[in-house]
Amino acid sequence: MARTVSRFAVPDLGVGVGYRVPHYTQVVEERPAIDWFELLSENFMVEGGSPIHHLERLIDAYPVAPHGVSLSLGSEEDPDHVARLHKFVERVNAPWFSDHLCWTGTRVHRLHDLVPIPYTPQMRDHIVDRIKSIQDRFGRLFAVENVSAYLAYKDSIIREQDFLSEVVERADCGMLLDVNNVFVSSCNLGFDPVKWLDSIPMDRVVQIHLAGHSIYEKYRLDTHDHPVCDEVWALYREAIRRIGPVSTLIEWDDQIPSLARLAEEADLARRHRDEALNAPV
Amino acid sequence: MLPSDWQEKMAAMIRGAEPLDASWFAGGPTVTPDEQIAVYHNQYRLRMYDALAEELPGLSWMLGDEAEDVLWRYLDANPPNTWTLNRIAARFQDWAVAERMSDEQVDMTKLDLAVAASFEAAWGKPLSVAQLMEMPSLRLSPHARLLRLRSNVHLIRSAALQKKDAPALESIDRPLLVFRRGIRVRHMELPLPQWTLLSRIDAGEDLGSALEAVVAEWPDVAPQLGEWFKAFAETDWVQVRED
Repeated sequence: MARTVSRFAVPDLGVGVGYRVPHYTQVVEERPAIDWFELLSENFMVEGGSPIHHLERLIDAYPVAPHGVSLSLGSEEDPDHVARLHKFVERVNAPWFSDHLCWTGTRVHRLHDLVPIPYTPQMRDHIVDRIKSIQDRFGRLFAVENVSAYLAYKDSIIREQDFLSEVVERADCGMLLDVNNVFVSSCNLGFDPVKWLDSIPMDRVVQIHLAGHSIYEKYRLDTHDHPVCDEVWALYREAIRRIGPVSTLIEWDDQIPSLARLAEEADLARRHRDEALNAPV
Repeated sequence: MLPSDWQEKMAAMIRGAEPLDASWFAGGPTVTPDEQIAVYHNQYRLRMYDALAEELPGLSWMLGDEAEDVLWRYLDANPPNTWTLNRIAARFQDWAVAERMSDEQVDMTKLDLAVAASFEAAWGKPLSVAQLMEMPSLRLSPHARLLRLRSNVHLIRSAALQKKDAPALESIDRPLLVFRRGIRVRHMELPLPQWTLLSRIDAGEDLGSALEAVVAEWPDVAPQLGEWFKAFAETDWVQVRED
């Protein structure tokens, strides 16, 4: 029986990985010992063919949660995207669905990147309205994720963690805490990642993301093409100590390794999680 | 009220349509404001190029060293305007014609786009013999696409993507059907009468007049029509038109 966590009483799905094209067939045929899979929503918002074929086989075999990249909460709603997302979320019937605290383009031009928003009261109100609207229409818990930032706006007058906290409280939604993103942003923008964690409402965290990133001369980039680094594991343990058992996911989207290697990374996450849960408070 | 003008300007900077303006950014402990916005600009260029090349694998192979220049000229003229990167090449065929790209490059584009569309199209609705007897209005199944190629680019594409030796380019009329069997996308050269029949059906012509027109032009195919329709139904190439 799944344990429940957070104020939303959502299940703790354990440690999962992203369901990616190179592993579609192997996962459904071999049923590896991975607790759950995250679905990149936009990959499955299509009519048929290979994505839908593999989706249907996966959801018969594993718990899943949809995670999107194109909701663009910081800009105007795209009705076509939202309609397709709604259909997809209904189809997989997961306990929550998620996307990012960012903008990904305008009505005219799409950047297909998770660009940070300026942290202002005006933007906060806009984001809250958009989350409330989509959460109400879908009738399902939405979780908003912090992004990796490579820039900061002069116009921002609220700290990211305070902005995020206000958004989730006012919208009454969940949070997808990306621990790697906190760490990458802390390096790029210069803040203490542990203090960042201390500022967010942990009872709203329904899922954690872990990933590897790339280190360049002057900044770090959230590339999802490496194993999780030691600093991020340490921050993950800090998060688990504060939150308790919560669904955790390894993101590995480029230079994708074998399924066996991904399962090893999930096992490692499970060990860090258990260590943090068993540590004296 | 959202600062949509501000977002349009920033999107233009990230796309490279306007010069980078660092005055909006605060900088960080190791990066200047200029470097901050440049990260997004550089990532945009890498991501968009990769996505477009993935949608047009045959054309990218055919263009070779020219691919980067050609694909970027398209992206600059046709920046992505939908939520899905799967539609990033949607305007490429029209653009390629306007740019006076060669016939074989335009045909390879058509083929790449047809394969991509078939890959994620809806399943067809199987057609029964009983339905056929009623001479229903038909259409191609959602995953089927008819192409009239002017060269053997389909054979070149298949060889290139399988990393085999590609045949020499040959200018020749190739009536082709791109379709999906199970989850695999395939293509098949069709006899011109069969291609013409499917083309007329897909254009909305009623079955009786489409058959009449094909038999009038190629009288010797009349005895084969029954077998053709049996094959169309078995291969899920056509379905009853519901609109």
